[in-house]
Amino acid sequence: MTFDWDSDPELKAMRAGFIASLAERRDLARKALSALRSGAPEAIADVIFIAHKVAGAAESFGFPTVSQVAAAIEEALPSREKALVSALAEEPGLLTRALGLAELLDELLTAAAGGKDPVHLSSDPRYRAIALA
Amino acid sequence: MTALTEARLDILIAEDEEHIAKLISFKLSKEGFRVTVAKNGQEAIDQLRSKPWGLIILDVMMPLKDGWEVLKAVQSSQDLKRIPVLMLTAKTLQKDVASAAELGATHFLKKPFDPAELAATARRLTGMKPA
Repeated sequence: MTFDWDSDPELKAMRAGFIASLAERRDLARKALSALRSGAPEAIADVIFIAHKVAGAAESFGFPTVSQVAAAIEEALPSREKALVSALAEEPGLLTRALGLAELLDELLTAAAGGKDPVHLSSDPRYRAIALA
Repeated sequence: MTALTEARLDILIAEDEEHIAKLISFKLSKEGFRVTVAKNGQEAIDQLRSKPWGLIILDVMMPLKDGWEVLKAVQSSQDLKRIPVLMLTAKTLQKDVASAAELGATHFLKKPFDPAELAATARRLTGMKPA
């Protein structure tokens, strides 16, 4: 069971506020993406944080695919307990992989910022590759 | 209403995701609770002794101090540890449940939460009558 968004103007405004926040999160994801493209691996932590927060919130506001894909992106990157330095040492291709996941996160948030759950991304090969891993 | 019943109506929520905090606050306020929101773990710790809370709802990942640190602060005090703590956990992270149990938390709510379950859980843990 979920909230009936149209039943209360305050609820409706809350959902609209969340949708507006998706555009802000997309902008943050793009900053992280840009940093990764410049070869800054510390931006991986930003991608994980954005993905985690979106994964935890989106489905509550009627965006189950956003939660599903964001959760998979988060799970596919080093856990917050794991030091980034050791993760990079263990996986030399981590930066490249994180770049691909950041691009997927950007696409996810761009689509959702339009107000609709991007169901098509649940069959995207990039998502399926990490969801099935 | 007695002072003891009044005390159970105050709920502290520690959640840095503004929109989720608003949603939880909205639902619980409709149920008759008085809700205070802490935007990070440090704010939550600072608020622990500000009121006789009936319930503390904790997100796990928060800036400054995370939910585990807040839970430890609650569990480290004889008078605070009587307050029920409800941990908000991501559905894919079973290890959150295991970690919370090790720290003494026994109540969990997985995100995305069912608003009816949230309300019923809050009522149960605070001793309010069922709706």
